[in-house]
Order: sequence, then structure tokens, then C-alpha cells
Amino acid sequence: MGDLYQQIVELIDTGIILLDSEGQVISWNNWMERHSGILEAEIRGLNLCNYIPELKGTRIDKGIYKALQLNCPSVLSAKLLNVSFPLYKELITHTRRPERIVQSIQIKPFNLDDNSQYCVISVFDISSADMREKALRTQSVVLTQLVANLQEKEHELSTLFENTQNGILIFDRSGLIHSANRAARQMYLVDASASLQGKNLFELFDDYNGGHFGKHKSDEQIRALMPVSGEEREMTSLRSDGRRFPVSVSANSIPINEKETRFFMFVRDITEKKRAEEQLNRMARVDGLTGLSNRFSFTEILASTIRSHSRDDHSLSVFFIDLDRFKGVNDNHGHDAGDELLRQVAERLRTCCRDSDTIARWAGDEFVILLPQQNQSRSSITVAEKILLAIAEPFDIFGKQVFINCSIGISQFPDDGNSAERLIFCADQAMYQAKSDGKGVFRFFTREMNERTLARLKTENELRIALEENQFELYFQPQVEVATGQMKGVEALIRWNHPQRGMVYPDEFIQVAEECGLIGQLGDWVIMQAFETASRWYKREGSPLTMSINISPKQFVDDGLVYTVRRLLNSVGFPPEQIVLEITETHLMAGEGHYLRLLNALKLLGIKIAIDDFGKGYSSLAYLRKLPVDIIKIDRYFLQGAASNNADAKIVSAIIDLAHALDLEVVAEGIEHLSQMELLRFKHCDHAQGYFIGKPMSIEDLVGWYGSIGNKPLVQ
Amino acid sequence: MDAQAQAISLDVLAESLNLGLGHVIEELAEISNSKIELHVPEVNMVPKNEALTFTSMLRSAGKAIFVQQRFSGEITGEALLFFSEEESLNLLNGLLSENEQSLIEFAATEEEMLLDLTNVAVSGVIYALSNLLGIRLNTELPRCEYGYFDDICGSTSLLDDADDMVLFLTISFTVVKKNSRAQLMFFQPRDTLEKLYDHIQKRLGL
Repeated sequence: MGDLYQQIVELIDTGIILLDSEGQVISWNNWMERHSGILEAEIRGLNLCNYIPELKGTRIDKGIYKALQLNCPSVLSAKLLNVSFPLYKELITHTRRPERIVQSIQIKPFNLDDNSQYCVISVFDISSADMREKALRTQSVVLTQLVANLQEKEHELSTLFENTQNGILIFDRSGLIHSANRAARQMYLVDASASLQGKNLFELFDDYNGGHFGKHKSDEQIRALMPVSGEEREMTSLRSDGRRFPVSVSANSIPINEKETRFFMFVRDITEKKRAEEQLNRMARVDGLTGLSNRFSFTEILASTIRSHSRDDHSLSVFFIDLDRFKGVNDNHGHDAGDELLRQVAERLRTCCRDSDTIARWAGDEFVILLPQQNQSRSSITVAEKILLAIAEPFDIFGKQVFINCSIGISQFPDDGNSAERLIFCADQAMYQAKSDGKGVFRFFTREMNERTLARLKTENELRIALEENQFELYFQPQVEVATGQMKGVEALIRWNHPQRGMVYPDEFIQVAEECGLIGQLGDWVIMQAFETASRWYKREGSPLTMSINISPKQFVDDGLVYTVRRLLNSVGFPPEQIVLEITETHLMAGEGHYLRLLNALKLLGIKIAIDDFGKGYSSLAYLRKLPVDIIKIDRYFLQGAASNNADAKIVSAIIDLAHALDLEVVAEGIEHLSQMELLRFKHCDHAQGYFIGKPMSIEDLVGWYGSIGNKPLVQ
Repeated sequence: MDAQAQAISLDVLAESLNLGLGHVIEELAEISNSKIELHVPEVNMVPKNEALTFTSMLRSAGKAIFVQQRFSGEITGEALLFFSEEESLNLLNGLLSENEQSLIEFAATEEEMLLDLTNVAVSGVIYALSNLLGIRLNTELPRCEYGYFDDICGSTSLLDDADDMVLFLTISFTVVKKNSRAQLMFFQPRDTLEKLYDHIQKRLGL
């Protein structure tokens, strides 16, 4: 039996050492021989720790002591073992140094019946288990780290998810919402602590319905429903309290596995953005002062109405309204009053129109109205008359009564044109006609107007060319001193040497030049030429010539005229009192305060101001006293009848007397007969001009005329 | 046995255990290569169920480790030690040398280490007892079980008869170097307790 145990001990895959009470080796099994290289025969009978000195004082040594002396067992774990048995692995190859076996050791005391104490030491090779465990532990550490990283990432993502300003909805193919962040909950739920989970996407968006979603739908079908390529789409969302609000949405898909896909949607509430856009849009379309549509908006509405009316065979009218005497309100009562007047006009226009009509402020004091779907029951004449009456009623502007009128031009679709621009243009032309027909009336656009307009456009183009090619020329009509008959000066008169039409007179083009804004340029040219002529004359003749220049009221819009005159006076060195600027009585009366300021500025330069065509208007001589006027020119109309008509003669006489009483010089125009000249002399008129004295002529002819007559009295 | 005799016996027992534990601490200090601070051990005779309330913290700690070590001879008994997983890892990490990687979960290595450690402590106590009583006791190697506290308690006959008195020994020590602290709880069933007292009283000549 003992042999049998011995064989088992030798076969077992564990180190077995048997020690006696002195610690001497009784048994050292085959496993120990193989791994230590120490044969049992060598060690038997020897003290173990003496034979292997490195064990002395170690836990193995102490364990043996505790077993043999204290009868206590020991379990020596590999980790807590400071020194192990010098045992090495058996290697198949000899390429590297043998490794020490990782050992777990048990030391058990036992005694036999004779009370002799022994101990058995079992040495277990746990190298491979240790290796496996180490590998597992490394994996475990890596996994733990990985989990920690994932948790950190998840924390970051969930923080981001919860705290982003955009709402995020995650849903599946059936539209079922799986999660929603705080922003989304706040956006969609009255109670933001409630959940959106379990709701369907189509409950939140007007743009979707149940039919859009379903488990049977493909990813592509779902993706086709939403903007998934990075762009954003505006949609309408529905809050839990039923309120609708605009959102901007972008979306994409998250493939979970082959069968399942999640989709996410970024939702941004754009209520504020929309409101701002709307406001901007409104600002871009509405006139800030009157609250009416503006020019841009009106044109757009008109164009769209024309399109729909073309399809339905309806007609429409466009009104172009210009306020008469508005400028006077601005000048006399200030811009605030002007603005208030425009507001009140807009209000009155509203009362004259229907809701379906579009009223707009076109510019300044111009308004336009679109009357759609015109028919027999409501003619544009009715509306126009209503407007004329409404505007003619006095306005209460800051406690003052203000009276104005308006002129209305009317164009009609389809008769006058089929584009917004054309209809507005025609109405504008008709308005001009209404103005020139006496104001406070309305006029329909007519073919003749069109022809006149075309002709005017042609003239306008030709004027531009004429200015560039210098086709203008100044003619000069002599003015004589009535008492002596001697020439004192000339009136400069413009002529246009038209390449096709020959000589063209100012009444054929000045108005066009005024309307198209060329008058400033043309007027400057006239002044410059007149100054140059006067200067040359002065140099040649040694005595100055009074140069009268006609000024258009349109040249009185700003300080440009004053600047031009000052510059020329300085450059040509001509005595300023020899320059007379003529302005018509009618214009002077209409201009009021504004003209007065400019006239005073011109007077300060030393030049003289003449009132042209005096007697045509309604101004009194007493009124003229207030103006910085030096000369009045009696209109030719009075002179024509003066010689034969006693009444006209009396008027002429009265004008001269009163003018002299006011220290004004008097010039009589249109002298065609000797009898007129004699009458003037008799009445002590200062100066005269007319065909009887001399026609308007070129400077060369004037020089010749003056030379032939010399300094002799021209008219006796 | 009167109360006074019992109290004296208990004092003697505590004192001798304290002496025995001195050796244990020495050994632990050597293993850990660090100074070990031993807190004065508490020795109590308490009913089993009361002893178990001390372990209530283990219930909430989830996984627990039980180490059992039997001894035999003139007195037969067993020591049972409880650790929470966290506590055991804390203790073992305290004993590891500086260059060893920290233990983060209870596995084979930790089990072996815990058996080693328990054996050092229990052997020390048993040796102290046998010395005190002048008797020879045979100590078996410890066994370890790892699982949920309630599962293990439910399957251990040791915890039957909740009213039985047990010797409840609490040993607290701190591994100074690592500043890790551990508590060992030791109990011994009632039947051997009587014998233990007898031996103590005989020894003291009471």
C-alpha cells in the first residue's frame, strides 16, 4: 500500500515535500525533481532551508515552523509570497531562459500516533492560470477603461443632447418618437416636464400625416419626407395647446442594424425670425408715413392683377394722383405739416375706395390707386369725382385750415397697355394733362396724349444730343431807352439749330427741358453764353451792355443758380448791375417763400431782377414791393391794344406811374409800331423792345446792326 | 456558570487573543512591508442573530465573501469571517507591494490571497487559544465562498438557531502605508463555547 501511495505521489502533477519535525526532507517527489533539478537522493535527510538557503527567513520558512512547532497550517498565496521555491518550467526549446514557476503553496502539519510531528508541503504551479488571469485582468482593465470612456462620451452626448438650443426628436420608420431633448419638450409641450416619448411625429407637424409613416416603409421613403442633405426646410409645427408655430427642420438617419433605422430631426423655432422677416417685408412694402402700399408693392400687385384679369377678361383702372399746391404747404407750414397733410390725404383716399382697391404712395405728393374688376356699376369716373371732392375739402393741419386740390390721370387695362409699367406711365401722362388743363380735374389717357408723349420723348432725346453737339445759339433783341432811343441793352433769347427742323424756338422745347430735368444744364449754358457775350461787348465797345437773361422757375430749385451767377461774375469781371435776370410773374407768385430767399441771394450779388410778362398774372404792385425786384416788363398784350384802345392805354399808363412810384424801372415788350413808341415816350416809360426796334438776332448781326445805327438814337 | 465567572473568562479570552493577534499583526506587517496598526479587539458573547446585524452593511454592499476555517481537538469549532467585496479588495490592496497593480475585482488571485490572510489571522487566534488553554488544536485550511450575502446565509447551517450565543470577535487594523482598513469578524458556535469556558475556568482554577 505504501508503494502505491509512493507511486501516486510521484505521478501527481504537484510538488510534494514531506518534512520531519526537524525540517529535514523525507520525501521530494518526481515533480520537484523535474522542476528544481534537485534529486530526492541529494536532498533527502537534509534540512530543507539549509539546502536551499534562499528560503531562510521567508514565509515558507515560517510556515514550516508554524506547522512543525505550532501545529498551524499555512496557505501561501503567490501574490503575498516574498520568495518561492527555485522551480522552473520545463521548456521544449532551449532558446530562452527558463521561467520561474508561479507558485501557490500549502503547508499542513500532521502527526502520527507516536506524536511525531511532520508537515507536508504542496507546491502548485499556477503559472498558466496566472497568465490567463493576467490576460483577463488586462482585458478587464481595458474594458473598464472603455466603459468609463463610453460613459464619459455618453455623458457628454446626453449633456449636449439635453442642453442644445435646437429641439431634437429621434423617431423610427413608423414615426414613433423614441426620445426628445429638453428644447423639443419646451417647444412642443405646455408642461415641459411631460414626455414626447411615445407620440407620433405627425402629431407635431402639419406637413405629415399617418400615411407618411409605417414599419413597412423603406428608409428611403422616410428620408424623402424630410430635408436630409444638410439643407433646412421650413415647416409648421403644432404645440400641445393647439398653437401652430413655424420651424426650420433638418434631419438625417442613424442606421441601428440591417433591419432597424432611427431618424433624427433638428427643429428650430423660427417664430421670432419669421416675425422679423414679416416686419422687414412689411417695411419694404409699406410707405412708412401713410401706411399705404409703396411703389414697389403697388407695381407688384398691379402686375399680378393684370395677369389674373388677362385670364378672366376683366378690366381695371390705374389712377395717378398728384396734389396741387402741396409744395406751398411744405414751404409755408413746414415739413411736419406736409407730412400730416399726406397722412390725411391717404386717409381720405381710403374712404373713397373699396377694400379690394390698392392705394399706394408713389412718391412725394403722388399717389396711385388700382381699381380692379371695373364694370358698369362702378365706373372710374365716379371714384375720380369722389376723390376730387374729398381732397378739395379743407384739411385741418395742426389747427390751420389748408386747401389743396389734386389732379388725376387715369389709364385702363387692357385699352392703354398690358403691363404695370405701361399703365402707370399712361396714368402719369394723363395726370400731366389734367395739370395743364387747369388742375383739380381728372383726365383719361388718350391716344393723342400718347402721341404727344412720344413727341416729347423724341424732343427730350434730341435735346440731349443738342446739348452734347452744341446745337444751341443765343439771339439778342435790342432794348432802347425810350427817352433817347439809344440802345441800352439786349435780351438774350435761345434758339435751337435743329439739324432736320431748322431753327426751333424756345416755346417748343423749354417745357420739355423743364420736365426732363435738362433745364438746369441748358439754363447754365444760356447764362454762360450771355455773360461771355456781354463781357466781349464791354471789352470791344468800352461801355457795358445790359444783358437780360430769362430764368426758368425750375432753375430756382436750389442754390445752383446763385452759385453759377457768382462764379461767372467773378470770372468775367462784368459789372453785376448790368445783368438782369428775368422771371415770369406767374412763377414768382407760385414760388412764394422759397423764391424770395433765392432772389435776395441774387440781389446781394448786385444783379437786377425783372418781372417778365407783368400784367398776365394777378400780382399787385403793392405785393411787388415786398420782393427784391428792380424792373417790370409790361406784357406785350397791353401794348398791342394800347395805341387804339383807350382802356389798355390807361392800364399801361397806370402801371408805369405806379412802378415809378415804387422806384421800379419799366420795360415795354412787343413794340411793333411807332405809335406804341410814342405812347411810351409820352408816358415816360424807361425802356422798350420789339420788332419795331429790332428783331432778335445773332451776335454777329447785332454787332452789324449796332455799327450801322451807331450810337445814334435808334428810334425817334 | 455564573456571570462573574463568565465575565472573567471573557476578559481572559480577550487578553490572550490580543496577545495572539500581536503575532498576526507582525506577520501581516512583514507580508505588506508596512506598519500595521491594530485597534483594540472587541470580544463579545452575543446571540447569533445579533451578531448578524453587525453584518447588515454587507447586505447592502452586494457581493460578499465568506471565509470559513475549522479547528478540532479538545474543542471543535469554526471561525467565520465576512467581508464585503469592496472591503476585501481594500484590505488586499493594502497588503500588496507598491509595484503591483491594484486589484479591482474579486477573482481567483484575490480568493487565494484572502485565504492566506484569513489563515494568518485565524491560525494566530487558534494558537493563542491553544496556548491559553494548554491544549492542542488542529486547524484545517480555510475555505472561501463568494456570492450574495443572503444567498450564502440562506445556505449555511452555521447560521441556524439564531438564539445561540456566539463568540464575536472584531479585529480592526490599518495598513499604515496604504491607509487601508479592515475588520475581521470571528464567530464560534455555542456548543463549543461551553467547552471553551470550561477550559478557561479550569485553567484559571476557578
